[in-house]
Amino acid sequence: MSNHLGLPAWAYAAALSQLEGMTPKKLRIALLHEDPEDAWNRSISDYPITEDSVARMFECCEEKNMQVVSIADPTYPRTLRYDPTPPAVLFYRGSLAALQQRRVGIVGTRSPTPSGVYTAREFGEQLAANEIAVVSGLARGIDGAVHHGMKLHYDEALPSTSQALGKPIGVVACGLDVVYPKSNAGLWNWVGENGLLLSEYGPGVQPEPYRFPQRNRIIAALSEVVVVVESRESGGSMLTVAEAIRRNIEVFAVPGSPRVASAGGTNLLIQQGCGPVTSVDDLFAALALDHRRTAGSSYETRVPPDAHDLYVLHECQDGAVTLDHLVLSLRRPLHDIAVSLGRLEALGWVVDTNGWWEALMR
Amino acid sequence: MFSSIRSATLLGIQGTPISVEVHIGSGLPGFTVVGLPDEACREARDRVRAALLSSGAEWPNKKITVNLAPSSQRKGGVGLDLALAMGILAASGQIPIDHLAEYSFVAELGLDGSLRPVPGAAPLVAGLRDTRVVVAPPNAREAKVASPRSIHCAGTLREVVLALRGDGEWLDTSSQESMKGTTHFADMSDVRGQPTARLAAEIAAAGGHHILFVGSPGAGKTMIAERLPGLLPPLTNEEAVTATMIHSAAGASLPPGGLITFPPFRAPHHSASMIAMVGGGSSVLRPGEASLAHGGVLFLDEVGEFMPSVLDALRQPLEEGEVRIARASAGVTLPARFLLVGATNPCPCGGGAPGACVCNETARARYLRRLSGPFLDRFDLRVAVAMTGVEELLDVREGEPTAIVQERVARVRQMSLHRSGGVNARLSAQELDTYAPLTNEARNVLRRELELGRLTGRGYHRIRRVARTLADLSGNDGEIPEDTIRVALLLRTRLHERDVAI
Repeated sequence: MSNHLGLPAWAYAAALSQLEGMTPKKLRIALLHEDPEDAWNRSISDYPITEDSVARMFECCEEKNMQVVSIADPTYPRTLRYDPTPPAVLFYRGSLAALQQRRVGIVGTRSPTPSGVYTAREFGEQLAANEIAVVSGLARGIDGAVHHGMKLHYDEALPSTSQALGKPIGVVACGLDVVYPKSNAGLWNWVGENGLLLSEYGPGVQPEPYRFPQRNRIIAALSEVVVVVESRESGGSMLTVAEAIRRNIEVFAVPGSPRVASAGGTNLLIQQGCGPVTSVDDLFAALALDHRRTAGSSYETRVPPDAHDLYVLHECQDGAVTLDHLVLSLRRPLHDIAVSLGRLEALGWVVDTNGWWEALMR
Repeated sequence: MFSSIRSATLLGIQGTPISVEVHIGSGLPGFTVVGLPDEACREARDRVRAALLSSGAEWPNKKITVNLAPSSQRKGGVGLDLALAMGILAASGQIPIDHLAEYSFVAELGLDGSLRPVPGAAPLVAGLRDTRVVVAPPNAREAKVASPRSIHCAGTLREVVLALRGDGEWLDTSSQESMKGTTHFADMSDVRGQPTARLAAEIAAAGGHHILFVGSPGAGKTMIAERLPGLLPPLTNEEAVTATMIHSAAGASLPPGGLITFPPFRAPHHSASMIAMVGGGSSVLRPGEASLAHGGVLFLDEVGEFMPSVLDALRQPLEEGEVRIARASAGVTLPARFLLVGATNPCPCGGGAPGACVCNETARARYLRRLSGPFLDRFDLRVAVAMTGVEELLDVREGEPTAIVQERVARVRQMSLHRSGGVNARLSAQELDTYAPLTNEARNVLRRELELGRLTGRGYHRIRRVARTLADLSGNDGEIPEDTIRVALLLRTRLHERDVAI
């Protein structure tokens, strides 16, 4: 498999994928039908390139801790091999073994409500605990929240039990060495160390807007079911849904309040026939797993609210409300409500976004 | 063939006495003005000549030299016209010089010989103490604010000459109008619902806390801001005179009585330049919006749209209550102690409830970054204003009227004046320890906020100042309890943590 320079075949495949003017289709055909090195040597006549770029690619991947798998390799993920538009070359960190687990894709808006974040985080925690891998895009908002939830569970679980935990699988739309968004840098590394961080783009490739829909098709292809936690009526998550439907992958949506714009897409999906998901049990059922495995286990770790504060909590339950709304509808003095909100917030029952208060309930 | 007439020129809000010296001698007929006049001053030559001829006086066909003393100081404006005319009349012997000894003159001349008002009459007159000052009739009211007894008025140059000779009378300026103006602020009773914003406005007025309203378009930010000056106590005599001087110097309109007795409300557009905001300009150093708002409210609507340099220039007046303007030719200090009221949308689209905003992250971040750090930190109160509910909007019951709120505000201002000699917003950290002690529960609440990193050291002091005012409003003069601190925290919305932390 290696030539006189001693470079492995994957380096040729990786270098081929980065050629200017190389289309996904051409690359796929080349790699499926001939040895990467032969394909490379043949391409030298078509493109102004030198042997150096292969060596450079090899060094770059070694240095940046990136592994490469091409569609011709036996380790190439099975689900992608039979995909209508498979990526011919994948760059990854971590272990492809994560794909052996049952896999749920969880996606959503980049500007969610706090309760959307809470739901995503809760799903992540419980799926990790139940040995189910979660595929997501490591974006802001829901995507990041679900993997963050998994991380919370990993941090709590003892090191010895970590073998039996669900793995995080992150599919990103830029080179693995280009962290985007920057605010998720910690999570990005964590996913690479504990699960699988995946991209079809080579080192240094920037996150151009057109790459995100491409990335979404891989999320859909790697998932057994796709769950949309919160999404507007248009946006990246809806593209992921379209890709999933194209592949006959079942799509679920978390219902939201009709008054919240960022739940407009998920509610629309439910109207159009997607199954609603309100707890992780629904996902077990969808994966044909025994949903009783979580029965009886409660993930509610918060201290119950004081009885005096319940009336405030109830008022915040149906979507975000303002302080004015609380004062006027509860007919209580402002300072009473301030004290209740302060206590509830300290216990984690309510959250404040720019003066809007929202309950975080299961 | 020589005369010296007194007049004044303006620098900032100070009138400086000027001697207009006129010499008429033999030589080629001509008219020169020396002594650093600006363009408007130099053009006085043509106005004065025409005005004299129109008034039936004789123009001396000789060499006329005018010197404006002290000669080293730059003179601006048109207020020297009348003094110039009087000087020529006296030097050419058309009126006796000794009649002019105790007078000074501040007015512009029209080509027909009429007297016209000049900006800054009040400070100009104030700079001419111990003399009788002749001004144009429209300037009489503000001139009397500076010097009530020694103001004379005449409609034309001819009338001035006749009155000086004793052949005519000065115009009667004993004003029919009272010196006191009436309040013209809209009433708080128009505000329906909005308990949080109302409370915040009351605190701002009572403790002198700068306030930022954050809310969607149409939520009522401007409505409440416009009613805030009505909650402030009327100006003291000294403040009223200062405010009038500033308005007069800036050429801004004055109330019917001439004296500004109610807190001014200034709302400059966000295109305002640095000089428009803090004052300046070539020769007169005109006061800016910050000074015009002295004793009242400076309202910056869409505060994020102002040029960052303009907002930064407000930091000195916010800290020190005055603006010091330095120019190569001169420097002045202008009073500028105002209540800063800002209003902004939470994001470019106007936002609203979480999940309703349709801005992308970069646009939102860029929008909020415009209001960054140090400036945002000056606001003790940062209040989210939400759209009034339909029920409240349709409710026929009126909100609490301004008069009642103002009474509470006045009481708290008295309390804090006796306690610390000023408003609560200006309590120092040491004074806070003395005058605003915390109960244990209240301290624990603040400790948690500090530990979570949601409160900075400076924010900690600001919260305690607001809590002091809040406790004063509820009649509590002692330790600050937990609920007061909680409310103070709610009235300081975090702006930069809009992105939900994951």
